Amino acid sequence: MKFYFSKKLLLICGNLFPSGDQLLYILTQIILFLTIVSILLVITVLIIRLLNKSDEKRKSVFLSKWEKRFYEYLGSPDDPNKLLTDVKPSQYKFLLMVLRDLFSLLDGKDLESLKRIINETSIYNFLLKDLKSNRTKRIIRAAYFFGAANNQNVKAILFGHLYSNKTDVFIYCARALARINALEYASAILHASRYQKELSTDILISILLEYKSDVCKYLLERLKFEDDYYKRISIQIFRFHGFREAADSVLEIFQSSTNKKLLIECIKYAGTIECIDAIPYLWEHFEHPDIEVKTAAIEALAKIGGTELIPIFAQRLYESSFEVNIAAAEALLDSGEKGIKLLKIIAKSNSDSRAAAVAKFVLSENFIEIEDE
Amino acid sequence: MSEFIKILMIFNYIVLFYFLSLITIYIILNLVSFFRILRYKNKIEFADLERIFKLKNYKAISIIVPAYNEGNNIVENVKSLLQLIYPQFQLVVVNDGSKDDTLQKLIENFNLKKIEYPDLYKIKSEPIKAVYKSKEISNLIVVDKVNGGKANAINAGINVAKYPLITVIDADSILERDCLLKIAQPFIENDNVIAVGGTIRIANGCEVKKGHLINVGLSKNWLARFQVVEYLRAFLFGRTGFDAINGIPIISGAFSCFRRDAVVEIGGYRSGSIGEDMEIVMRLHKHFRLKNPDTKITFIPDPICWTEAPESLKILMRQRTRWQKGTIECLLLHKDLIFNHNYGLMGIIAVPYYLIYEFLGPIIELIGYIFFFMSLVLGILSLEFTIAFLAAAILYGIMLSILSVILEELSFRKYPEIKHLLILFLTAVIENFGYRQITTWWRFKGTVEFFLGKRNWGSMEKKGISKQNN
Repeated sequence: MKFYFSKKLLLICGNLFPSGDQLLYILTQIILFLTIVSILLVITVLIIRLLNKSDEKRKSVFLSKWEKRFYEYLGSPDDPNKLLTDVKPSQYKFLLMVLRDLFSLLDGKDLESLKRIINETSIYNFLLKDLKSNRTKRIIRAAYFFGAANNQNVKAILFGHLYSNKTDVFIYCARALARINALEYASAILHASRYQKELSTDILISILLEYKSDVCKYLLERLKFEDDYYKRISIQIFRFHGFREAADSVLEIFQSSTNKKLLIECIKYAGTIECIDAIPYLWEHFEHPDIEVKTAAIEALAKIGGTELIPIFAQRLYESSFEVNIAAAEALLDSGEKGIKLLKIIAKSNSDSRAAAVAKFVLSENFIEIEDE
Repeated sequence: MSEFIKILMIFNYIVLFYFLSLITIYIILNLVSFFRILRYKNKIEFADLERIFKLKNYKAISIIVPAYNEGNNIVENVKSLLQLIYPQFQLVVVNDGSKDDTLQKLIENFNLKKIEYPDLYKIKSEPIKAVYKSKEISNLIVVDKVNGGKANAINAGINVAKYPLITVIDADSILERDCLLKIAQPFIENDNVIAVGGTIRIANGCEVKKGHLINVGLSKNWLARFQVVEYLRAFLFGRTGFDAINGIPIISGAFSCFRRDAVVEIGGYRSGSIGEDMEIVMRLHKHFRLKNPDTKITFIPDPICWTEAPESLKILMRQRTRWQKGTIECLLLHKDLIFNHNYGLMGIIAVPYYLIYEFLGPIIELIGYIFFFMSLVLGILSLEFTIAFLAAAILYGIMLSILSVILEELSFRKYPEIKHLLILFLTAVIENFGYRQITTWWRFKGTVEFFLGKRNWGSMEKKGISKQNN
């Protein structure tokens, strides 16, 4: 049976693979092919490297000529077109490389001068062509520069790319719109983001944070009509900007929502803007069954402050969740002298208890001696 | 006798099939990697990460550095790690029961004070003796614990770490200053990402000052050069290719980043594991992909971490046998992943690849060499055919290595001089005459030792890159 099997296998292998001279011929062809390909690959890489070297040389020659003129231009009211008089379109790529680095380094008047190079010279048309193209790399580059240069003319084209099936294109175009502070497209960014399968909430928030704080008003106006996702993102933006005008609307959502993520955002917002009206609701959430919600409520109340909360925080040191214990101990620490005093008492009272251990930890982590009481 | 010849023939066909299938896989991986790296490069060029991470919604990172007998370099390493660019991070150095003055040096140099850390740890580790905090540097924490090995030390670090992301690095890793910005980016971009690996490069021959990479270069030692090409192959088209199918079974322990809650949920690293970095990644896949099929463990091709490669055969042998044992251990521990469609292409392609080409590879290759030789002696194969086959195999190996150098050239171009490129090409050729065979032998040795029960970690003496430069 075993031999029969091996015979069969051999037969199959024999049928599958050519044998003898045929195989030798094929192998020789493969060797020839691999040798030629390997040599060609090495030559290609060396050519690429040489081209890059010469590119770098051309770049440094270009920069050495251009640099002096550029620094004279920076901060001055001169026409930026003068800067580009001798610059050929083939040299724009060097120029853009330099401008990219400068955009992250310069500010104030210098930055304004830089923006004018993008907005008022032939580079604008060069980048516009890129933005209208279908190639991701070119769109990304153009979106970056138009965003950085705060160009108001390309908003519609950028908007058109929001519904691209390429996440990178969405991210760069949405970010450019936000940097331009195109408020009218803030909702569009939020809506278009739903079509991006791989887009996270965090990246969306980081895009919306590129807007100036006046985006909050815009988002607030639409808050009522939108779903939980929109509300959650908007409330995060309100929180990061410390936007107090949204307090009433957020409190309303806080009281009615059962969505955990939204609830946590409301709590964090209330804490950040130190919303006194939220205290009763935050208090209620001290008993919430979810640890994350409970911890957020403690942290928010700690930010709002008030010595009357100290005993409530102290109680939470005796709960079973370590996260809640730590949040409560840190809340006591933030409550000032009275809170610290209570922490020291707890730390000394029953050294074996969990509450004492957490109290000792938070005190020692902040280099506060327990024994000085 | 004729039956023996038949078996010999069958095995020769198996070797041929093995060789052809490997070629096909590598070509596919190469193509996939090429497009992915280009896409990544386009994206990162205008990412402006430093500015974006200033926009408040970053995820804070705890960097965990397990240290065992690192007294010579620890202070310098910690100082350089503290200079990394990131809006909020803490450094948790875990002294894993060092026998030298690692802890003492840390206490003296950073003015550490003992703090009362509550014994409420979530992951099991050897007892923590003390936790120290620096008065001057608020984001530096040092954990002193009973020796328990690298995985155990990382677990202790995770217990003390307070931020949502944890980055695990080797104490002697040389990191690019913006590495945290780059490794944290996938977590910001995709909510389903639970772990990210970074590309590791060889630091031998590079100029390093005060823990920072100043100039990239190539070592004069050929063993180190072989490893440069090997790492290029492994990271640029191996991992990048598997990343395309969300099938990365290993993230290098020298530099990796995880969501802390995910690692805590699976109980941390497996103490005593030989291949702890591969084991945790496979366990994360297993645990989270059943809960959420969109869970992602990803990889960034950007070279952000540089590590010292062994320059002596003895140490390299220890490293390679250990890696092989680690691979086998993980595959046996997680054999239910193999050909399991519940884990997507990871179960169908990536893990079987590791089984066939990484675990069984050295066995098939070595027996192949023996059977080939026997076939030659017995006259089953002609001398011309044998030479032609070996030449094709070697040429193919050379072409693959050249392709990885090309990928590097088209993407990150870290080696600045044409001289470096020529050396890399030469290395790509020479490594096929002896080095590859010897590493196959070491892997085979690792396999045998594993099944004989020799499963210790072994020691890895390193010269220290900064010292080499001095």
